[in-house]
Amino acid sequence: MSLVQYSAPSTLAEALQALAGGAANRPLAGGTDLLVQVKLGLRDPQHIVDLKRIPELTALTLDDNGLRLGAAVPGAIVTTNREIARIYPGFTEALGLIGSSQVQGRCSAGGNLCNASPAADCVPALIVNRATCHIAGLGGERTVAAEDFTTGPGTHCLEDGEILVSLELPRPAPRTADAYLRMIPRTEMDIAIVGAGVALTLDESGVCTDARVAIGAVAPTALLVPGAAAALIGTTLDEDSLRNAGYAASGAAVPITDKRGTADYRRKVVGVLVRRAAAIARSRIEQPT
Amino acid sequence: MARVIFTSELERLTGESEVTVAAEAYRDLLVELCARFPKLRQDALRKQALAIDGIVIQEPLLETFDADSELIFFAKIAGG
Amino acid sequence: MNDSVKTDFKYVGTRPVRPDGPDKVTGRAKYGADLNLPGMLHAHYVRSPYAHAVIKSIDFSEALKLPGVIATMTGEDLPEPGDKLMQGAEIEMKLSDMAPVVMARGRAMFHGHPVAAVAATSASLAAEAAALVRVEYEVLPHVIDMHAALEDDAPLLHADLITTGLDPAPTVPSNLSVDLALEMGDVDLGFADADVVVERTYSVPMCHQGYIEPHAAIASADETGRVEIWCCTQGPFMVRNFTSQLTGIEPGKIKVTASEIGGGFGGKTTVYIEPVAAVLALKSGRPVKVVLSREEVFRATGPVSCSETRVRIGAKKDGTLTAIDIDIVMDSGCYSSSSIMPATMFGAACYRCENQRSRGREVLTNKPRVWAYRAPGAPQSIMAVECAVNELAEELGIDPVDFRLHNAVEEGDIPVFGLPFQAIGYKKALQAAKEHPHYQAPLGPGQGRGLASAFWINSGQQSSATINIALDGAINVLTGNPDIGGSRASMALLAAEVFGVPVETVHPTVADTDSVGYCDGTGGSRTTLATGGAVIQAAEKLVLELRHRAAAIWGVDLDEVEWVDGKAVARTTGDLENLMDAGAAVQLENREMSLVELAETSGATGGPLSAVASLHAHNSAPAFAINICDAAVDRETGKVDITRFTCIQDAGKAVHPAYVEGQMQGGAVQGIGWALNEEYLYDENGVLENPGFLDYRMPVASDLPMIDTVIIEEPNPLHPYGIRGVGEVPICPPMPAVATAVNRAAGTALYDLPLSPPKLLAAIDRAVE
Repeated sequence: MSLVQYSAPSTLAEALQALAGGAANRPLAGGTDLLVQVKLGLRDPQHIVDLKRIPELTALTLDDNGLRLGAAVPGAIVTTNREIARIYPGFTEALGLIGSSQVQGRCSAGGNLCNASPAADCVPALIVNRATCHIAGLGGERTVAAEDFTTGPGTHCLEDGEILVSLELPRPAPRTADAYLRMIPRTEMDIAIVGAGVALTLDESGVCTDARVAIGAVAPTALLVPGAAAALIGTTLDEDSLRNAGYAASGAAVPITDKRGTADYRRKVVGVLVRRAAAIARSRIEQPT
Repeated sequence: MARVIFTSELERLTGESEVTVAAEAYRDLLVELCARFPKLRQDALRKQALAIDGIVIQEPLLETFDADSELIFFAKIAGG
Repeated sequence: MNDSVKTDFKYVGTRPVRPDGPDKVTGRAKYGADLNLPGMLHAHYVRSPYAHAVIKSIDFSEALKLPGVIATMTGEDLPEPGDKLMQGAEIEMKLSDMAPVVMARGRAMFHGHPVAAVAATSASLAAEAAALVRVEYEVLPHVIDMHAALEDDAPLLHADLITTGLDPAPTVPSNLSVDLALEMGDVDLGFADADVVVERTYSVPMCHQGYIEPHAAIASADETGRVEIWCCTQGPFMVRNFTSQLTGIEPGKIKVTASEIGGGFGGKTTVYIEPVAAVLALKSGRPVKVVLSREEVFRATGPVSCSETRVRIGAKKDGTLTAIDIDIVMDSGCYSSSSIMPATMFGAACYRCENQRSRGREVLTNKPRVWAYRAPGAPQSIMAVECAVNELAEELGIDPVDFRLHNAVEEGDIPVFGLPFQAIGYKKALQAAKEHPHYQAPLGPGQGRGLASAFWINSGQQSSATINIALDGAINVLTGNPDIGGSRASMALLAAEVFGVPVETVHPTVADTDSVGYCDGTGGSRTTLATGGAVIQAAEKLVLELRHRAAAIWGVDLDEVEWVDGKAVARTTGDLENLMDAGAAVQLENREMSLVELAETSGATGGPLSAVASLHAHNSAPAFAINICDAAVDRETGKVDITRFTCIQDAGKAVHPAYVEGQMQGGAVQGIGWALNEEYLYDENGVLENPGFLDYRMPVASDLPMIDTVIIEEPNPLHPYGIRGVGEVPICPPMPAVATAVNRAAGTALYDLPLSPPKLLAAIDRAVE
C-alpha cells in the first residue's frame, strides 16, 4: 500500500477534476469493497477521492416519478425507509443482503454496481426495476440502463474519470411488485452462488401484463432474461408458467464452476429461484402488506 | 506376580497377549520384559504411558505396583 | 463409588458471573496483538509461492536497502534439529518435524510455507521489505490429494521417510508415514457370525480450527539474553519449552506471558511465530511483534486432517454386534503429526464387541502440517462408525438408541485400545437421550433425524497452583492456564468450595511462567480436572494451616479445630484458668475465627498465608456425548437447515454448568460447520482457494437453532470432586448426527462431507434417477 493522497471534494466538478488523470485515482463511496481490495493488495490507488460530501451522490428523493438514489447513499438509509420498501420490496431486500449491519451503514447500491461483481445482489433487482444510471464526466453527462452498466467481472462502462452519480428507478405501474432471492449456503454474511430478481405487473384479473427477470452469479454480468419474462407475460402465473420462466432462466445462464459451486448447480438453481421469486412478487401484488 | 496385558500392537512383538512378571516397579518391568521378548525395545516402551489397575500414568518412571496389579502399556494421546 | 469423592457442594455447580467477563465485554482485556512496546519492530514473513520447491538462495540485499529494515531471519537461524525428540510434547514428536514448520529448511513444503522473515520499524515497511526479498526456487512436483500421495509414482515428500508401525519395516521410503493396527478377537469369525453387515466409506474434509483471534506475539530480549514473550497461546509453558528447543535459547532464559486468548481449540497448543519473534528480537536488540493475517492463519497454521474411513460392521438379528472393522487414512500435511493414533483407537469405543480390528494410516502431502482440534482424530473415525451403526440399526429395524443401549460399553468392558472402562455415564446419557422431548417429537415434512454418540479419553497431565491470602482474607489463585472456556470461574469456584467462602472473594489469575509452577496447556479437557485439582490441593493445605493457626491462638489441639463455612471452629471446654475455678461449671463452648480474622493476624501467627500445589494428574476419566439432530433439506437447492439440535453429555461434576453447556454448544456448532460447509479447497497448483471466512464457510449465528443441552453428572471416581473433563468430546458426535439427519431428509446416501448444497443437490438428483 503506497497511497499518497486522499481528498474529499464537496462538488461534483471538483471530484471530476480530482479523478482526471488515470486509473490510479480511485473514487471512494462507502469503501466496503475498495478498502478491502487495498488491504488484500489487489489495488494500489495513488489518490482516493471520497465522494460522500457531494450532494448529488448522497441525495435521495422519492416522488411520483420514482426513486432517485445518489450513488453513495448507504444501504441502511434505503432499507429503513418504509416507503421505499413498500414500493420496491425486492430491490430493498437485495440491497439489505449486502454484508452485515455494520457494512450496511456504508455500502451503497451505486458501489455495488461499480464493483461489478457478477454476484452483486443489488444488480438483478435494479435491472428488473428498469433502473437507469446517471453518469458524469468532464465531457458531460450520460445515462445507461442498469443491465448495460457492467461489462464483465470487475469491469463496467465508466471511462476513466467518470463517476456514477445516481440511480433512477421509475415509479412502478399499479399492481406491480418485485422480489429478489439468492442462494447462499449460509443465512447471511455470504456471496450469492445464484441470484434472481423478478418484477411483475398484473391486471385486475390476475393476468401478467408485464414482467422483467434478471439473474445474477450465472454469467460474467447480471443478465436480463427476456425469454423468462415472455414465459410469464399473458399467463395467470400458474405453476407451468413459473416453471417455464425458470427453464428459460436456466437456459440463458452461462455459469462457471468455481469454489462456490458448479456450473450445473448454478444452472439448475437459477431456474428454481426465478420461479420462487416470481411467486413471491405475485403474492405481493395479490396480498399487499 | 503382576499381570501385563499387551495391546495388539505389542502382541505382535511378544507373540503373547498376557504375561506375569516378577517386577514390582516400572524400571524393573522394562528390564524384565525386554529380556524376555527381544523384539521389545526399552526406548519404544518408554514412549508409552503405563496403566496400572486402570489408571493411566503418563510418566511412570518411579511407579511401583502390587503383586496383583494389572499393567497395560498405552499409547500417549494428545489433546486439543 | 469411592467414598473420597465429594458429592455435596455449596459453590461448585452454581453459575456466578465469570471474573474475566467485564474486561472482555468492555474491550479492556488484552489479546495477543494488543501489546505494544517502545522501539518495537514489526515482522513480516516471506512465504513460498510454490507447493513444493527447493530453496536455492535467499537474498535480502534489496530489502535491507530500505531505511528502517533492521533484522532478517531464515531457517538457518534455528539450530539443526537433528534426530532429537521434542521434550514436553504430549506425544512423541521429532524436532525435525517441528522446526521446518516454523521456518522452512532448504525446501518449501507447501504454498504459504514461511521461508524468511524481516523486521522493520513499521508493519507496512516490513511488508514492503518482505516483497523485496529474492528467493530462488527450484520447483518440484507436488502432491495434494492423500490418495495420490500413496501412488507409487507420487512425488516423495521426504526421501528418508520409512513407514512406522510395520514389522518388518519397509525398505523403501514413501509418503506413508504411519501404518498401525489394533485387533482383538477374530474379526473374520465375527463377520461370519453376523446376520447383517454394513460396509461403507466415509470422507471428512480438511478443515481449520477457526479460532477468531489470529496468532500474535511480541518478544523482547535484554542484554543478558533473557527473552520475554507475550503471545496468545493455550500453554505459556509449552511456548517456553518449544521455543527453547527450536531456537536453542535456554528455557530458564525465557519468560512467557499468555495474553487473553480468542479461541484455540487445540490449534494453539504449538508454536508458529514465537520462535521467530524471539530470534528477531535477539538479532535486533529490539522488541519484535508478529501478527498473522487471517489469510496466513488459514494457509500456514493448524489445519485438521481430512480422512477417508472404510467401516464394516456386523450384527445379529437382535442387534448384538459381532464384528467391527475400521480402516482410516488421514492426511497429515507435510510432516507427521496427524492424530492417527486416537483416530484408530477410539472410533468404536462406545461399543462392546469382542471382535474388532482397526487400521490407521497417516499420509504426507504438500499441505500445511496438521495440528490438534478438539478430541484430535476422534471426530473423523467416529463419523464413520456412527453413520454405519445408524444404517445397521435401520436395516435391523431397531431404534438407534435401543441399538446403542444393547451394545453400550460399561464399567469393566475392554475396548480395542486395551484399557478397561471404569465407572462411565454412557448408558445414563443414552437413557436421557431416549427420554428427551426432542427424541420423542414428531418430525416436520421434509425433515430427517440423526443421532450419534461419541467417546473421548480426556487427559490429565501436569499442573500447579499457588494461593495467596491477602490481609483482608481475599484469596488470590494463580495458575498457568490461559482462560479459554471459563477456567478462571472454575478455579474460583473450586477454591471457594474448599475455603467455604463466597466465590466473589476469590481472585483467579493466569500467571506468567516465572510466577507460577509448571502447567501443561489449556487443552485435552484437562484444566478443570488437573489444574483444578492443584487448586483444591493448595487450598486444602491452606485450610490445614489456618486450623493450625487457630489451634495455636486458642491453645488447643489441631484435632479440635474444624473448618466450617470459612471459619475455624472449635468446641472446647474453655480456658484452663476458668476450669481451675472450682466453682465454675465445666461446659462446652464454641469458638470461631473467620478467615478474615486469621488473615489479619497472620503476621503474628507464622507469617504469610501462602501455599503451592503441583501434581501430575493420573485421574482423568473419559467423556461420552450424544447428539440428536433434526435437519430440513431444500430438495431443489440442496440447502440444509438444522432445525433442532440437542447435546447430552456425561460431564462428571459440572463445576460451572453454564461453561459446560458452552463447551457442548460450541463443539456442536463446530461439528455442524464441518459437516455442512467447512472445507479446504486446493487448486491444481496446491494453492488454498478459500483462505478467509467468506469462502471458508463456518456457520454464523443465524444458521443455527438454539443448541439444547443436557448435562449428565456421573462423578469421576478418581477425582476428589468427581470432575471428568468436558471440552473435547462435544465435537465428536455432530458430524454423524448431521449426516444421518440430512441423508434421511434428502433420501440420499451421501457420506462424502461436507454436505454442501451443490454436492447434496447432485446426490438428490442421482437418488431420484
